[in-house]
Amino acid sequence: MCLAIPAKVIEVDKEEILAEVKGQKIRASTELVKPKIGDYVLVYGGFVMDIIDKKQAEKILKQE
Amino acid sequence: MHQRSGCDITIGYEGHKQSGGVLGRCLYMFDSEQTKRLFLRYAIPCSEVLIKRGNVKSSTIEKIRAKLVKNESVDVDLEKIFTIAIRMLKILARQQKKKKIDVETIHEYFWFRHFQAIEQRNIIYKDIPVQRCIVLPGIVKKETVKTPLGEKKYKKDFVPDANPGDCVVVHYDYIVEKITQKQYDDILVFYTKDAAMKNVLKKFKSQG
Repeated sequence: MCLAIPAKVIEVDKEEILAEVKGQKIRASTELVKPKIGDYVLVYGGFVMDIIDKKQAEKILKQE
Repeated sequence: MHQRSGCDITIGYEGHKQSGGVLGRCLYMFDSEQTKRLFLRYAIPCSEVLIKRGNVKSSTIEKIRAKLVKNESVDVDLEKIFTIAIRMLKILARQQKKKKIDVETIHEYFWFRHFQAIEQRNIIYKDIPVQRCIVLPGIVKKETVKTPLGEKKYKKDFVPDANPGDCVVVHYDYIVEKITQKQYDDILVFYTKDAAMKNVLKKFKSQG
């Protein structure tokens, strides 16, 4: 199933971000959504799909 | 912000507060009913995860599945159910400079982009049955379908006229569509093009 990964943004470049989840770092394009450092995002297929709040991120992480 | 009508997914508008960023939301995002039904043949078989999470009722999925098999029209807000898949298709359509999702967009996603997303998730979470989740090319045998991961039975509900020798695509337990020999070769090359890809397939094979 096409499920996005919730992650916290730790670096922001011009066209992509570096985010962290469960000790793993993932890169994603900011073509659609442009988050800031510290934001929680949903990442899928190399793209930031959405910015979510911390509560939502924690709720999703609990489901994993 | 200005109001828009129609379903142009190529133009974004800043300040858009709705979830999904610049892509917008639209019920008529597929170029045809056939394209929408093709998407559903790929999406419906793996919706068990969404049901388990409480994102959608199993009765809703069953209704869509029955309509698909009976060739009846499906009129539900698919973006609400398959949010991430639809959003990904919209991104690809935009990259292909198309206003709507067509068959080519669906093939690009499920045949060549879906794998990367599964692999990335699998590195972080082991919560999805990767072998069933990846989309594979196959050749129909008498009782089974032969894919790069081996031979097993697949349901023919969506493609009842799949006959031995036909080239097909499989996803979860279903034959999703018939394809040409050239399309089969292209997908097979994608899965066998380099050692890295072969290793991921091998890893998925051992994970079940």
